[in-house]
Amino acid sequence: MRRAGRPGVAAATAVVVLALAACATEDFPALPGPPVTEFVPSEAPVVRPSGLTPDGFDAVQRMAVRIRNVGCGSLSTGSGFAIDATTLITNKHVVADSADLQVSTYDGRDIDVTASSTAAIADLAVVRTAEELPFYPELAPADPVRGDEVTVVGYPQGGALTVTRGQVIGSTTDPLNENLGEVLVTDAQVEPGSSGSAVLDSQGRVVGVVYAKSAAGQSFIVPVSTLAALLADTAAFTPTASCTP
Amino acid sequence: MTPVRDAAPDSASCLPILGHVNDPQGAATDESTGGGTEEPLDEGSVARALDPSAEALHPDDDASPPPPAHDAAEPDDAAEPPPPPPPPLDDAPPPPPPPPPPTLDASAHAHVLVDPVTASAAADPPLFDATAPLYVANTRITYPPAATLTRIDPLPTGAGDTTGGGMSTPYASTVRHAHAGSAPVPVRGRRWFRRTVATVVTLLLLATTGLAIYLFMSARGWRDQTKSYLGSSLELGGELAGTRSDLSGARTELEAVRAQLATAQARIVELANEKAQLGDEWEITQQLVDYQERVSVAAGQVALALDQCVQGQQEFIGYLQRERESTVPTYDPAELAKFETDVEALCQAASEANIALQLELSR
Repeated sequence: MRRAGRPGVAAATAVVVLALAACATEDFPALPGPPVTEFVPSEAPVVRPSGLTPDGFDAVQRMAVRIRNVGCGSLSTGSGFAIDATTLITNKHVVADSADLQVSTYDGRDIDVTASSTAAIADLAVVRTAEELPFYPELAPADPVRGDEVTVVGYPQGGALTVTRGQVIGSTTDPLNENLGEVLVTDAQVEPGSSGSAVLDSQGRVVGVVYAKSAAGQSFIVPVSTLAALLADTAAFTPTASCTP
Repeated sequence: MTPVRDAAPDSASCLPILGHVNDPQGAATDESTGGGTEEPLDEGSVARALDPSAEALHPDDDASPPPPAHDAAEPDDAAEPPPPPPPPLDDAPPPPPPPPPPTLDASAHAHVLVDPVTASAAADPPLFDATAPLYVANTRITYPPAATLTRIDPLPTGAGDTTGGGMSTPYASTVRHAHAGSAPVPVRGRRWFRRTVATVVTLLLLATTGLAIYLFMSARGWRDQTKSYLGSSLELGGELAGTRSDLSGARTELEAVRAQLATAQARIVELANEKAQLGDEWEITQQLVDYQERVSVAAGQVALALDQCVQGQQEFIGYLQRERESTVPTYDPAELAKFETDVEALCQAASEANIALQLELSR
């Protein structure tokens, strides 16, 4: 009887082993799991920065300002850009000999000016405003090099806000002898009235300030390194002298 | 004649092998003519047919159960009264050769044929004479153990089978039985084999049943879940279609809004520029007004100076006329000269202011 039981056990074991082996295969149909009831992801979709602004204008446009220099029997316009909520950067010759400085934004809002100061060694000026400016960019950590794409935003000829693009074609000494050191040369088209325009890199950071142009159409730019150095020096800027009627 | 051990009481089962079925008188020989040849079996053929160790034709299914001689070896048949215990097959000597035909033992391996059988296989001469029909009564036979049975090819049938006068019968495909050699199989081995087979079959049956139940439940579960998913899919598909339609409309609106935004931005820039230009013009105009005011003031002053010059000169002229008409000096000559100098200075200043005004107005 014991001899007869062994094969039974062996057969049972074999059958069980075969059954388990069959069940262990991936193709063996398994019982359905609990039904899925939530087909829509519960997590909210990731909101990616789209660069949208409150009024649809680009940050490049929103940082630019138009500066009107009302002198003593004279009137001139220039461009500028914000570097913080109440500080503008422009050229010294834009704010020089002024009886009144008037600043307007891209959308035509007028910003009151509280003070202006100019640098002695560069064609740069700092203008303080009473109201906050719409937007201000950050300064690039380094000057652009030859071949870098740049964007110039300003008010050429005192006209409408204009964005032009160009490329850095090199550097040279200051043709107007208003800067110590070298300035950048680009092929971006600028016009009178573009003085003080911001020069931006591909990431929207300030890499320079337009201050002159040549007859060949080249524009001269104060590099951001000079601007940063002057901003870091509190004694570099002195209050602007008003004109006398 | 040896009776069959568990034969029916009918003595017909004890008919000699050459007798006809249900013909105790043995008159079947006359009827066998219709089935083929009427040659009687020779002794050698009968002996070979009854030899347990030789191959034999298998009886039909209606044959009687196996004799107790072999049932004794089956443990399942223990309910029946045990027949005289035969000697174990293991130890039993091979059965003695069958006696001569008059003393045929029906318990030996015999063949029950209710119809004439024509063996046409020429390749089976050891079994029996295939051309000779066999007429066997309902004789109890003893089957060989199942384990010792082997299935062989059916006897060939066809036209060749009837050449000798025999007719093709269903038994042409009968299975032959043969003992598996002459060596006896141990009873324990057969029992072990049967138990193993039974166990395996039982387990396989149980496993198959369980598997079938499992698969049925699995299929039903999947079917229900598929139905649920189908409903959800249809619902989501409807929502998706609506969402896509809304998205298409939203994209169209977005494009329109973008166009409007671009137009509005351009208009804002244009208005800002217009405002700036107007501001510039206002400043210019304001400066011009201031200039004009200054010019007007200067012109007034010039005119006043010229008027004073004219008046001073007329007054000086009057002084000179009275001085000429009078015989005595009316005015102090020194004061008159001083007055003349003042008038000339005033007129000079007025004249210069006028020149400057004219120059300013000419710019």
